[in-house]
Amino acid sequence: MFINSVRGLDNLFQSEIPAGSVILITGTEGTLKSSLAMNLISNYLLSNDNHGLYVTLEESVESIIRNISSIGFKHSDNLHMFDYKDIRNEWGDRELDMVDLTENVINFYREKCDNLTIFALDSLNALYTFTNQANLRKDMYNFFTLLKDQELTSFLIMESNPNSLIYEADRMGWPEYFLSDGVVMVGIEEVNDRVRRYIQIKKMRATKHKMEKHQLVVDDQGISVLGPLY
Amino acid sequence: MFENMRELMDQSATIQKEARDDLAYYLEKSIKSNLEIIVLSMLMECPMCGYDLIKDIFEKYNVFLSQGTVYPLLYSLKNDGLLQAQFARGNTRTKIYSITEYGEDIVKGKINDFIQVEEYILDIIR
Repeated sequence: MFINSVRGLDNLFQSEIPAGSVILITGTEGTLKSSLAMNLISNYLLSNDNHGLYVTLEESVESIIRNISSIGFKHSDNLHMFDYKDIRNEWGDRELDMVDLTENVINFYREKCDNLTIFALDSLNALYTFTNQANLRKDMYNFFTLLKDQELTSFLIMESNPNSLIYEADRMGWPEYFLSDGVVMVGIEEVNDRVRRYIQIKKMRATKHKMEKHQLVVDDQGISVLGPLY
Repeated sequence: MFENMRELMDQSATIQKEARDDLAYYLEKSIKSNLEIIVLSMLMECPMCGYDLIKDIFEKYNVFLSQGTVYPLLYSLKNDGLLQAQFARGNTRTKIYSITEYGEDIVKGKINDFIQVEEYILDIIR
């Protein structure tokens, strides 16, 4: 059960996230997007015999593990992590079709592990950078279709740009927002002179959930969801 | 008459192209399904990086493999202890893969098994 994978997440959900959903985790820099995804997936995999794949395009696997190990992260042996550091070092970002490449990485682990049901991509922004902009919508549609066809519950991390005034309105036109089944937003907000982290479920198809921003706290036991922010 | 000849030549060219396409398809399928043994035997012969492996496979078999197929395999074989990786001399951006001491006998055994199975199948279908 995903809603039991992070303490207090059941404050937000009244029913389980359907298997095979494609979920965006979005927020500005430093809002725990990767840590939240990693905690969710790893804790989920510790409770069953499924396998998961976490693909990182920019950060190395070592760097991600170093960052999250300080916040009570328990690594599941069934969580396979793959970074593109060596590929990018050797191929120099030229001739790389990241969408096709990522599909092949998924296929490899799919064949290697009998029960690969979870996928995470960190980040969608990086994937866009390496995708031919002329074919972006088509490539993204194909990529989302691949994830859905393979029935992978997928977490796609996407960094939002706080400086873009048109971002809030503009992003609804971006393909990932209507192609995804769920949008989870994480952020930082000042409430009564106190700075607090929050999580908000903007959208989750076929799931009963609350819409309010809930406080997100992080300590050496990991990430927890508390009550509503206001 | 001339038109018939042209039609026949076109048909023949199409059949030959289809046969070549079929052959290329089976070759690519075979390379992909036997990739582990191909990679291990190539690294047994000469340690190299992922880039050179993909290039060499293309030069040998005319099959271009995705980086997303080759690199996860290299990492998996390294995790299994069959391969080791070290940076190329004076270049910290390129990892050279070679067979480990532990993996040497296992890899030789895998290659021998593969050859025997292939020969057994070929003997039957010939």
